[in-house]
Amino acid sequence: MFKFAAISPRIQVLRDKRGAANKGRTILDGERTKIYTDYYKAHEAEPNILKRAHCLYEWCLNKTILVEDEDVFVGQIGRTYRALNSFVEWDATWLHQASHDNDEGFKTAWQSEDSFAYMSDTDREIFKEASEYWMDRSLSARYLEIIPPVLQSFHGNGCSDFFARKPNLGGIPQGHYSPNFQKVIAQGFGGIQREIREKIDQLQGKIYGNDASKFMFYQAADIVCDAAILFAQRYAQECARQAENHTDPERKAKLLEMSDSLNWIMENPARNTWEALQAVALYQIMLVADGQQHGLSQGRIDQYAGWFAEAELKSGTLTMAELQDYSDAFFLKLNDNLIQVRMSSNDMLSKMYSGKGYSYNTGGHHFTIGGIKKDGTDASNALTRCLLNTTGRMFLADPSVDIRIHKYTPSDVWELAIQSSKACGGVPSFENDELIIPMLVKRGRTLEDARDYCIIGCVEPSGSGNEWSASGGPGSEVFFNLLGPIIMAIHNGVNPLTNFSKGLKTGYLYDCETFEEFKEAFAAQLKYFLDWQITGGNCFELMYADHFPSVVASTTMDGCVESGKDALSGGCKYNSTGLTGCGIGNVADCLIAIKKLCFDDKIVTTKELYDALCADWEGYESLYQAIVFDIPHYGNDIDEVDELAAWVMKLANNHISSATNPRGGNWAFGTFTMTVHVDYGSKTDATPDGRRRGEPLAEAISSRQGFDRNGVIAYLNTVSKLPQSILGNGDQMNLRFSPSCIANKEGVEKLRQLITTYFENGGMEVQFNVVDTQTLYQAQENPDDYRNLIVRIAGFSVYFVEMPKVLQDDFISRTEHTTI
Amino acid sequence: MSQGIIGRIYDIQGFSVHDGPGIRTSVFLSGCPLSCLWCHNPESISFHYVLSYTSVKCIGIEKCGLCLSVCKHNALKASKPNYSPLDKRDVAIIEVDREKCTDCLDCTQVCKPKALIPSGHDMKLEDVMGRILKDRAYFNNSGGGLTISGGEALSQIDFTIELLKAAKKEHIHTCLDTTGFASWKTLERTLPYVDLYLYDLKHMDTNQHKKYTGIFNERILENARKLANAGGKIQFRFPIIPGVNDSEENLHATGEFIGELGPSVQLLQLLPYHQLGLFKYDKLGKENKLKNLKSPSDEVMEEYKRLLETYFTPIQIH
Repeated sequence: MFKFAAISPRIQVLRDKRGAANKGRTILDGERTKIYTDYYKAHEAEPNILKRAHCLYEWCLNKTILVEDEDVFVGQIGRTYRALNSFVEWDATWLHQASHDNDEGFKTAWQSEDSFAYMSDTDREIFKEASEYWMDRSLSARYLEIIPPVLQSFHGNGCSDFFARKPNLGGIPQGHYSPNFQKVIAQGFGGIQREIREKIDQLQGKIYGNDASKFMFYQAADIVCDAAILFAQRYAQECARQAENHTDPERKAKLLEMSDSLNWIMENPARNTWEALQAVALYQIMLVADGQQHGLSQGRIDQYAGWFAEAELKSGTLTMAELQDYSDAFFLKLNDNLIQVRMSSNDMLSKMYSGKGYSYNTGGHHFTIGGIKKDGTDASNALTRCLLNTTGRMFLADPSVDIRIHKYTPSDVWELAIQSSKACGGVPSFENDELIIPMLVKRGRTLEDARDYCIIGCVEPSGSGNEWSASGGPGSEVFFNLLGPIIMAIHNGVNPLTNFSKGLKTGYLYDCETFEEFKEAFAAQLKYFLDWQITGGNCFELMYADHFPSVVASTTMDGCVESGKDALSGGCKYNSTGLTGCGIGNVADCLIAIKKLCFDDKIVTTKELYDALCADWEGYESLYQAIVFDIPHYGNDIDEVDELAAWVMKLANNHISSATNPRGGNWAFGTFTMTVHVDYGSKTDATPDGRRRGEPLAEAISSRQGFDRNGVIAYLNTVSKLPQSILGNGDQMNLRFSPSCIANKEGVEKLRQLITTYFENGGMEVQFNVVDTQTLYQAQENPDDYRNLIVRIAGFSVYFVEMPKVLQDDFISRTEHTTI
Repeated sequence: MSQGIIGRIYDIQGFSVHDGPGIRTSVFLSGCPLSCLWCHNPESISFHYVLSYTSVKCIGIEKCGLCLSVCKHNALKASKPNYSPLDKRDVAIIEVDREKCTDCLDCTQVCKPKALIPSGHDMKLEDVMGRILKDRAYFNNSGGGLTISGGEALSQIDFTIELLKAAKKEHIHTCLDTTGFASWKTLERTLPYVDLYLYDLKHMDTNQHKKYTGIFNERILENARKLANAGGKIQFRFPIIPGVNDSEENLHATGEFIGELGPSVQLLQLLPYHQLGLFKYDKLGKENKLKNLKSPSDEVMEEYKRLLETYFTPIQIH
């Protein structure tokens, strides 16, 4: 039986200590909020881009510096470890509510044992004051002033929640990119600063045309470089201070070594593995402080840091055991960097993220390992393997990891990846190089850049350090409900749940005389509402770029310093904006049901079906059963219905990917759903696929929950028929196996063959959970016994028992593949 | 031969990972001359289709109840209402009175949710092959293919032969999962078309064999010897049933038997008893006489493996 080696004693100590910090509770920390708010108050007239840079500098200068004896790497976002940052400039509503609650309510919510996070009285005062300032000034507060009024009238359309987020739209940092860690390690901010100062010198007294904005950008970037160097030096000072009187000679020597390194890195190129990883951690924390951290992805860490490890292992300055410790400690470090996401804008998502327990889901970090190098050869190295060992034995739901797979992925890497994924609920997930690289080339990347892609957010392929991908949407909403246009096509442009009536007047279902007519109505509504979502997103981006330029990201990312433009204003080499469609399986089932029942077999008239939908199937039991049990369903390798799904995917993709964004790039279509399929479902009327009002949608490219009745290969055959190679924003394929399937070495090998064949047949991504339904039921009943049970939901994994019940049930209802 | 030849089939399963090398699609044929107490496919024992009932699929008599009106034998009735998560209230579903049920299967004709189904159905060879060919890409990479299992596939020898021939024509690797209980002549007919036999050895003592499976084992052992001599590649499958066939004596006897058969034997697979098949007995309204039996632990399985390795290698658990 395969077993991951136990973690080393020193990592165990570190882990236990982090777990026990603040009595295991997450702290809602006000330090950053105070520093940023104070600065904003005192400098209201300063241009935003300089304000952002100065705020970061102030934070680096004044933040609490913490070094503890167990620390392998230093750096923390709050005053303590396990501190949760808040981003009050984006949205202050929920913090205002929380801090202004009466004392009793406040204590129950934030200082009791069941609190989602702990807030001290001091922090409460900070948040009180800050949220009062930001209530009228935050992005979400201003959104309604700035967007065209016509957008506001699109509330409740049922296709896109973009228009339904009042008043919290804008409460989510845009993020979703991979900064250029490579540059930080290889050049250091000293090197970057020299580049910037040359640009400034060239512009001194010679500002023509639009150069003033460039000049401003370079000034801001110059400040950021100072901030980065200062940030590391403050940790260096603290290490040196502690070393002075330290009683343990070993730690004393280590502290001096760390101090020396911290004085060096950030300003200069890293010299070894530890310095490389430490520089990545510090830069990462600065990015989180700046705020563009939602979906902030580490990219190909085994590449930009891995070659140090290879060199050191060769020269003997590093052992495999030390590298493994670095890998474990680095995971714990990132796991400690918590963020707060959408406290109130999307109830389902905020519940999802607000788990209690050791690991806190950040919705952010994402590593990409393996795959091929820029020259096309296999990229795996010692660090790749160490990172897989880390995921397989640490049981952390975050950071998330993707492994890139290609024809020559070594078999030991395969085995580690599968074993880890089995042990740690779907970490890593598997990405298909052979499909993604050509796709990225088609979307305009050079072959070298395409080969160097990484995964962002959930499953979105993007450039490493050279692309502002905004793959999680323009900072507002990325999800599009594909069943929305079906509802519109049935009800003549009206959403019966909200009485929204501004859809196209394509007639009612019962006006259609042929199936083609209905398809055309659906296609028209789909394009119309996609255009509205794109319109909203593009308007929003412009405002966003003005309020929250991310100088700290732009300083490193390819193209920004060269062009003198912030990443959010189109400075990066590549630019895209993501959108993702939910419920493709439902749409295919809807279309086939209408085709079969009303037109091919003429079992009911379109009017009868329409009436059944209006009645939410009440009184139409036999029709409902005919649809659920007699009609072919997506997910069973039945060409007729699978082709309809492919048609919808192509239609949506072609429309979206031809749209442009304000940064000069294109929109990209994907099909991941996170947990939104449940949320959207609860807001969607009855549909012809035999879905009752309020029931969840199918997630990602999956079939409807439990409707894939012909086994895993039929299921894979179905999704292989979809044109996945056009999905610029990624797709997601969830499988669940019973443990007996992968009990021994042969089972692991067979799973590998399954994935390989799926990829050869045109699959882009696959992630799997190895857990039987019985275990999940037991975990629901005795959550305490299953605290460590991690399951993969979307692009991220979570502790099963910490999910809200409705999501647990949805997860259980996904088919378990087994052979007895 | 005839594409139209019909097999009695109770299931076809893709991504079958325990029935031979690679990723396989298993065709399970109905009907078995043995009736092993631990059988995990009890619905495949009968040569006639019997009624299989999966209660969780029943949507309740209020919404449906069609089966009640077609049952001529008064074997179906409404249960006491039980909570249904789907309807969010108590719902009465169907109960089958096995005493009265004659397996006429009329009810299966009207049951939309497929809660009441026949334990198998007749399929044309071409349809079976059509289904298998869909999985073909998954065979090629993994060295997998088709496994014909049961029941006892040799009991439907004509269909089995035609299916094997059809698979070989498509260059698909074939396994035949068998109890070995058939005439040598029958078994011999399969030789040209089977790449690997998955051959069950349940007990070396013929009386014990009779006690637990319903038949004596002489013919099974004799066929194994003949098959080995004739050059058929064999993977033996030895289900470890605690208290039934895991005595030291039987382990030694099994090892000895296999050890003497020579190079035809490729692998010995030890299959620890599991309870996963138990729910199937409920579906059929049958009682499983071994239902309180526990699965052997990993350590015990390793120990048996070591003992048997003194006679034969390689041995694989699961």
